[in-house]
Amino acid sequence: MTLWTRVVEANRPGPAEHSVRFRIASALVVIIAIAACWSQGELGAPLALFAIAATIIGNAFSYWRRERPWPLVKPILAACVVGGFVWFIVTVTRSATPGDISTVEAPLAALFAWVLSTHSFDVPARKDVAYSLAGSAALMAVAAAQTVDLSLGIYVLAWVVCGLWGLVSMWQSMSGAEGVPWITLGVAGLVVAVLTVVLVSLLPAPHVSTSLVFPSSSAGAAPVNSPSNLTDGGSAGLPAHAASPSGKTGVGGFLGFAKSLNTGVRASLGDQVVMRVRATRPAFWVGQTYDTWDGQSWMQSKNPADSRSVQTLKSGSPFDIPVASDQQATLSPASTNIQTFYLAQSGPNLVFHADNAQRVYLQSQHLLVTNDGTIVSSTSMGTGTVYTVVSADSTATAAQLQAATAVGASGIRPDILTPDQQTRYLQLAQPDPRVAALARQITAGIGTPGDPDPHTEAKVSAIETWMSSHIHYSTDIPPLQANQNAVDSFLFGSRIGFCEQISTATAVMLRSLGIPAREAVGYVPGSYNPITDLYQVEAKDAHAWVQVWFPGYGWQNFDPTANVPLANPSPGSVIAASTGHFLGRLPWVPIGAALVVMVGAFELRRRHIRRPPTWAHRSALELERAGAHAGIIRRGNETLIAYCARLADAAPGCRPELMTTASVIEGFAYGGIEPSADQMAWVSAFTRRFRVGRRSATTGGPGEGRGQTRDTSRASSKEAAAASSGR
Amino acid sequence: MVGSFVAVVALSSVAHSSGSGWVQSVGALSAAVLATGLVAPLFSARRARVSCTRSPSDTVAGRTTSLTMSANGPIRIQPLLPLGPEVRAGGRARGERQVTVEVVPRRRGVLDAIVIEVASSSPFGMVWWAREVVVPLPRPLHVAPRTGVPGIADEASSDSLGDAARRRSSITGDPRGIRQYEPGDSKRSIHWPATSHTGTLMVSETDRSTDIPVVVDVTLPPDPEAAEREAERVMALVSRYLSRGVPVVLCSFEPGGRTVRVVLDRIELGRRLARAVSVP
Repeated sequence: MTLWTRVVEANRPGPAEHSVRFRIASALVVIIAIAACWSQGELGAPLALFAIAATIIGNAFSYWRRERPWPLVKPILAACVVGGFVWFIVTVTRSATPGDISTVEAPLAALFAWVLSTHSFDVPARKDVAYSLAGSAALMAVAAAQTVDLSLGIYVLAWVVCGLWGLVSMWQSMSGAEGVPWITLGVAGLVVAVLTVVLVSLLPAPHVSTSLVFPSSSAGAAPVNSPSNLTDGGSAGLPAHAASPSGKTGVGGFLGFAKSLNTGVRASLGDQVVMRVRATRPAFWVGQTYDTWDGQSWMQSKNPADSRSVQTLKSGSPFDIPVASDQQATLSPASTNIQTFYLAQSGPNLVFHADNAQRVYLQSQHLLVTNDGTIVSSTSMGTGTVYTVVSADSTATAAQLQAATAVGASGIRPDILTPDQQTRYLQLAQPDPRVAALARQITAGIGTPGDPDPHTEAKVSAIETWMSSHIHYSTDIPPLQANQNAVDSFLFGSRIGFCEQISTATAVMLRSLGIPAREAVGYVPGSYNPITDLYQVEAKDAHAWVQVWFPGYGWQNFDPTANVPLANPSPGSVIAASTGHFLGRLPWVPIGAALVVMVGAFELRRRHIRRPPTWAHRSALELERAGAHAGIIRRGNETLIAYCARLADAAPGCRPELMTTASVIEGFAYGGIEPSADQMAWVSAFTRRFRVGRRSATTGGPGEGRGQTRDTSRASSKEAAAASSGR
Repeated sequence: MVGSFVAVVALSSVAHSSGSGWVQSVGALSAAVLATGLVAPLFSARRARVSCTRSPSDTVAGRTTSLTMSANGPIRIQPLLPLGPEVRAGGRARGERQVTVEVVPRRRGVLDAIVIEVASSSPFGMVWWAREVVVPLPRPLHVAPRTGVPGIADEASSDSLGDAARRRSSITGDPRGIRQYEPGDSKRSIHWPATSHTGTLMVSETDRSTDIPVVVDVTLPPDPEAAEREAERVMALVSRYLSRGVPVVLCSFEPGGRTVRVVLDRIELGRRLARAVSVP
């Protein structure tokens, strides 16, 4: 045997696969996977169309040659695949960033599409078609790797449907079955759905790996040409309108991302998706902080346009962010929180981040960083912009903060603010005795006169508690007059407001107590999507909260609006909550009524099907039931007369009636002798009476009865068939 | 199967290194399909019901014998005892279907049931799950031995059995008596006057006398293979007499004593040898 012969023998395909449906389904899943990669931008249109056409032609060719595959096809395809690998390695070597898996995915998608489409030319056997089916999963995974929204869902759905169709076709081909076992398939589909949900729930959520270069890309970026260095809606030349409802500042109506935040202006927030965030854990995505309060608006004393107070980072991505002196958290162990932001809307050129950003991966020439931690890109940020921020999360516990405000044993505080910083963060528009009195009243009893410990954490908690019990949340409040004091009218007026009023009032009260505080604006984490593993941030998630300075811990976030700690959601809890919410909204009364009707109809139909077709069969069944009660089971090959004779042995008093009944029934079933109406009525009445009498008189062995019930029904079926055929 | 597991683990790994939830979702979906496809046939195989609806009464060792079986779903049937080729019970996705299963008994004997392997891959065809099922036959299957080389045998005629050895039940012949109907009796044998008289089905029996038979004494050795060879030899020997029209009285020495039967044709001969048991 020559080497060539051995190779041919070793690669001899199995029996040819003749199922056209299986082949169509297999080709479809490959095509859908290619289309999914195309839709996610991982395959160009020419390559995707070529791969789809090659898959169709290849499968047709394989079906045509399934009985006699050309031996030369395998070497040719092997050469094609090797060529594809060479191209992949060359491409990756030239263009991919080491460690950046996102730069490998496009060549990888092209390679997979190439391999699958070439493989379709050599799928003569069932095993080969099944490989195509399974191989499409790899292509779907590549498509899924770059997906940040639910748009892939339609492709996944189509892929699953065609895949299941293919698997069922494979089963039909294997078993020689025709038709679809809908009930089995439905149960299997349900099991698949439940298992998928369970797996997604139980598997730990994937997070950005620290061993890789973080994704960043710019979309429609242009140098910012705005005097304030803040842009509006992704346009490089459109300056941010400071708290002006006529401006386009902010996505979905939020007016905060500008040089100033006017708390007297009202805006309604939309539900557009602003961005999606994949993060190690949820946090407030900070955009800006404000330190200066003028009674109605917050402003930044360090304007990003002021080059003297702003640090310009020109290192290029990644940018290392210097830590401000007031942000240093020497007492709190920092944990890394990596966040990747996928912008779904053109937005301001602010770099949102969790607190204490340390490094920013952003395709921008330089970054502008103010000493309050606000990070501004020098280029505009359009839809599709991706950037990653690495933050050192130094959120302290309440106990730590309580200890932090106390004077240490040595009598030396670990850190203090500089006089300039103290001035900035204790600044008030004008002394407001009523607000200060209210703040003192709320915090009365905390600490003792002469106590050097300011008890900052306790006072903040007291004000938060007071807010939660005295303030009502509503975004539907009238705008303020131009000369109105926002805090005074809020605290001593309606006491109705939203995050801007609540956080501003808190910050002003804290400042009146001598506690450094500032206003922060940005977004809450948003809703977590367990499928995409992303926090979906909508315009209505825009938020304002308070940052309070603690020695040794820097600026700490407090949200008096939603006075609840942020929990780290797990996929399982989110799915459970969503499912519960969904189930809770279902109209259970109509559903229950429909279910009752369906079950009733099903039961009626079942009884109708199982109903004895003739009076003879019904009477025979009555006799069999009567015998079963007495433990006398009719054998499969036993005539009714013989059976009645056995029954008569057990009930000698009924022998004449039993034998007459058996004779009448057998005469009708096998002799075609139609009894009179009186005879039929008599037989029916006797059999019913006999069964009732047996049931009350005797008890049968349940095990024996169960074991022989099948025989009984078989005999009855035969009789029924015989009776209905008139024999 | 192993490749599929590797693929699922790989997808999960990619998900964790790339941070993509979709990859994990696709992986979870694939794993769920895989797990369902691998486990579901177990239940299908357990739910599979097979019964034999038709089987012959007689066959010969080594000869392919067809059995008609009824299955409640698309399954694969592999006869194990006796062996036979694999059969697919195809057709509709649900409901009863008839399938012809061929078995090839290797040795003589009487089979009341056969052992088959029932396998199902429903609904995804990823893997076959199988279980062994003992299927009772509707009637005993007598497997006669092969016809071997007759060899030399001592022949003797004997009157020791009296007239009994010469009377044989037959469909036609002299009336012998009337008895109660038993399942399996021919409808033609029903004795209607007696039936109407007693109120239960009665059948008449007839028999006829035969020629003076040749008596063949058989003692099967304990070794199964040797016993098979001996049975084959007797089969050939007695068949030669039967082909000449000579009735044979077959006497076999078995653990229960001496068994004496008149054999008039090859079918009776085969059945008798199928039932014959070796002396230990």
